[in-house]
Amino acid sequence: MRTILKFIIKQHNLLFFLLIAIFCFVLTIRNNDYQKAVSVKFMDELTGNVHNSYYSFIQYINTINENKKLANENALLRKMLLNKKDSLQTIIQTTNNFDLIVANVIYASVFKANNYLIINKGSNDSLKPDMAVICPEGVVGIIKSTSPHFSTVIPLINTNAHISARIKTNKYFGTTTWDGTNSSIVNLSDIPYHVKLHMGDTVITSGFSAIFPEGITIGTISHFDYSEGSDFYNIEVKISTQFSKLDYVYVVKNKLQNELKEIQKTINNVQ
Amino acid sequence: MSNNIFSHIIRFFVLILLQVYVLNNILFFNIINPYVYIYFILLLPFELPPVLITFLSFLIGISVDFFAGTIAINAFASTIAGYMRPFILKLFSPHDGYEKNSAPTIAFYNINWWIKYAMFITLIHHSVLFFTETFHFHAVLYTIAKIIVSSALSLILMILMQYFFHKSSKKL
Repeated sequence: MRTILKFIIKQHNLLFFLLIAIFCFVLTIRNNDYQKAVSVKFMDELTGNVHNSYYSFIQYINTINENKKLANENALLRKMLLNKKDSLQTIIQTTNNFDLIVANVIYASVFKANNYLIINKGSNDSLKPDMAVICPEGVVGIIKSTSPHFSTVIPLINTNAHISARIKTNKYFGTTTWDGTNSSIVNLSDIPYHVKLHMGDTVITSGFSAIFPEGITIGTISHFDYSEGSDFYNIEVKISTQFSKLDYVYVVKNKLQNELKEIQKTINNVQ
Repeated sequence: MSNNIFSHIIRFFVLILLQVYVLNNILFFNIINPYVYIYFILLLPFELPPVLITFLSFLIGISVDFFAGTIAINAFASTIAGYMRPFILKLFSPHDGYEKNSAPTIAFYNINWWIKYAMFITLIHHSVLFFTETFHFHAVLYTIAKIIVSSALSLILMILMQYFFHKSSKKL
């Protein structure tokens, strides 16, 4: 204790200087947009690399399990190809407007209010913000930002994620939101009360947002009711994607996204 | 002595105004941007404890930042320059040390000494400042060129100030 005190008294100038210099540096990064952007990008890249090495270590350990899983997935895909019934497959094949890029999830948070994922493809693989991310089971989320080798993804289970969805059987559409509690349930709003609903109905993406292709599975209806005086249902949808087990995902590149965005812009301008 | 402190305070404010309203608006040849407010740090008395010099350097830097809207870039650079001042003074110390009741000016010591002393602190300050401003090492040569020419102009301006305000009398 005494030696620490002695050290502090002896080096008070150095300590005071370091304190102020660090304070100034932090202020600089916080207050200047350019410096902030550069350091955020740097930190993204740095944390991305740490996550990546951790991931490759885990991947090395899990090789056998992964192989099994991949074999299973391969088999499933072959079956789909034969049947051509799967929505994802048919969309990719019939319209040629979408490209798929395979990526690995190297970091995922599931239990926070603002969950996010990091995947190991970035702007070098021509990924951009606002691209859709899906997996064999269904919707994963939307890319928020990219660095050269990594991208952050806002998943369905983030309170800021709003995804345009529709019910497969009767085509009525609404918006999915997440209330931040249960990581396997999202809420579907804006479905009018007069629509007939059944438990287990499939909810798919509507394709209105120009981000997701139409017809990607979001989940199935697990509960619905309506409050007195409201015109809309409160619908709970059980998500088909298991976020805590995510590994391989596909990033969807919509070749017509710019065109669709532009036409939506002209509509806004007219209004 | 009280007169002495008073002149330091006046210099503090005049240099901030000069920096913010005149020099920050001039960018000669797109590359030269002099920063002369460190003149205040250069002229602080020898007797001040180092920790106070660090603090006063921070104070003038952050004041310039507040006016220029560049919070903490200048403060960062001038804090480092102020911290380095005692070491540089030691480096260029005359054989028998600095005289009592003297000040770090051309009037007390010769112009060679003053240029060496001022040049080191100016270079430290400008290097930190411009590298913090560009914040990357992609265009290093450009940044270094900017540091050298800006330091040269700052130094010339500060020598002129020495001759205008401090040469004739041995007062501060």
